[in-house]
Amino acid sequence: MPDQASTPETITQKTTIAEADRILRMEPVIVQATDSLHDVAGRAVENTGCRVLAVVDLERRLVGVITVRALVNDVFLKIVPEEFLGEIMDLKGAMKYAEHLAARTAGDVMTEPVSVHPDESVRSAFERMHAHKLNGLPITSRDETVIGYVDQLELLLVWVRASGREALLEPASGDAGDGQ
Amino acid sequence: MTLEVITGLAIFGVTYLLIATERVHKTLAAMAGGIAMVLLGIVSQEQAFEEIDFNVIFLLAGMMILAGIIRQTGVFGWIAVRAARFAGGEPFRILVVLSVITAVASALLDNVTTVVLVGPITIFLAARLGMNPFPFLMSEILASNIGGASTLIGDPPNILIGSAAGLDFGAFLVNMAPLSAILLVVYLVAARWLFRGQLTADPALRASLLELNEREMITNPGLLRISLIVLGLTLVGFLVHGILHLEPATIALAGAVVLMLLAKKSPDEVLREVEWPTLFFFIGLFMLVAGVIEIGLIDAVADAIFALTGGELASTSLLLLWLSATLSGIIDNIPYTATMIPVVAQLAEGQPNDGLWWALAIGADLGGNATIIGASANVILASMAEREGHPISFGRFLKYGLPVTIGTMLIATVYVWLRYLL
Repeated sequence: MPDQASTPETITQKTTIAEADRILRMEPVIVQATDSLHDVAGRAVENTGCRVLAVVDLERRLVGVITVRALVNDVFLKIVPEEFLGEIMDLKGAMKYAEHLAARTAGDVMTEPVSVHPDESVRSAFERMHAHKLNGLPITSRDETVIGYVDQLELLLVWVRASGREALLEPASGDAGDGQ
Repeated sequence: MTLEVITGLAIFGVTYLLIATERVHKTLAAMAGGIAMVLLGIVSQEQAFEEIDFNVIFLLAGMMILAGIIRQTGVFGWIAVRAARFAGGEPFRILVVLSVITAVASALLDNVTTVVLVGPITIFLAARLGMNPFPFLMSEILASNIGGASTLIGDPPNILIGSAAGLDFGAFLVNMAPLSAILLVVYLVAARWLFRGQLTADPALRASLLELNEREMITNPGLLRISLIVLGLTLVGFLVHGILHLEPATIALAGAVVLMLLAKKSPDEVLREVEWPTLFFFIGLFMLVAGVIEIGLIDAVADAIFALTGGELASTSLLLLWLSATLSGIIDNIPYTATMIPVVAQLAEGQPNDGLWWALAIGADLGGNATIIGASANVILASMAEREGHPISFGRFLKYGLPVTIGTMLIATVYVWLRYLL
């Protein structure tokens, strides 16, 4: 049970995503691949806590993810594309610019689908976020339907609280730096 | 035929096939071919290494370093946006200025750097005008290959030929630049007809272009000033390198070192931007060609051409011109030029002028315009167009590239005739 004293190790290794989700209760932002960037941005600001949006098909199955950061860049690029021209130094940058200039829908800007299942551990969620450089992940059922969202920062805060290490995140007092 | 000749021919054939089909990265193919020539005893390692032309490698490396720093300054964006405003947002005028910018930049820097920087600005301007970027991008491709032909440093075949034949920066400027200028002007006149019906834009959108501010494009004004001064001095160095008894490679490396010092750039960062695969592609090719010379293939090709033309300057030049253009449209013009240089060196002996060398350079440079795979600049701009949602098909490219190549080659034929054969 989440209320029982958990050590950092138990919360990452044993806690399931289902349990973590019960503590965090974060709502996913779900958009369709055909939704316009305008609609996607509108949905994102309704729930700013969710930093990785889930893109789904008509059956609500996950087909991709969009980070809020990438969305902001894309919307920004649409309004002032000239601002980004000066930053293009190489072939990769030039190709990316071309791609973003053409992007109009969620499907155009999404990256490959990444998610966690409720019965997976928090540890695997962290590993997946790290591997894909994401700050959160959609939670999906076995048939890849989106059923929730788990955020990295919230998860870390729960972990810090569970382990009683809040002091690590406070200004250092007394002996500088050594928090052990 | 001895076993050595058969083995050497096989290595050469397989390497060319791998480069042409892109089954293996071209650098890896060339290096494998070059090393195989040594390992299988076709050519000694001393001879193979001796064939590596460090004038070519160092000139390329020096120019890559210069281009790597210059592209961080935003100068291209500044020029392009200023030019688009100067053109009043009128599509055909924009096509002309973008083509001229691309041609001049390609003459001074490598074509890939040029199109990587001009391409995004072009698709941005086209999007602003609500137009398909095809006429602009196609013109830039053609202009980059035409402009690149004009100088010693504009296109890798020129660097190879310049070093092998002892033709310097000034010689290229006198012999190649006038032809490039004529071809560009003729092309731009033809472009209005070629792209008829494709060069219209909504007047309201045209007006919105005039609101752009080119100053925002400059990312680093200090670096820009230093870079332009060093590039200018390097070009002066190329012009007078004969008087100084210095190779163009030495001038380019000197420019690169001075710019790195003045810009306070860390070599770690700058040298990471050097296209090492391209440099090793050349190294592999030089070793491969060492093997090809050793087995007598070069002599055989030279003899065959001699038999066909009787060694006469006029017919040999024209054969070389058109053969080079045709083959460069199909295969990479760098390995083609590297292989043909020893052939032309034999044929050029005793000829009254350098017409054969110029025919090789013109053919190899202009042939790249014929197909979408003819030169790296073509491939890059075509894939940029595809990413932006306006793909250029092989057929559509051919519909414009082939007639332009044939037209420019016909003009080039007249030029070669009047200049070297009369």
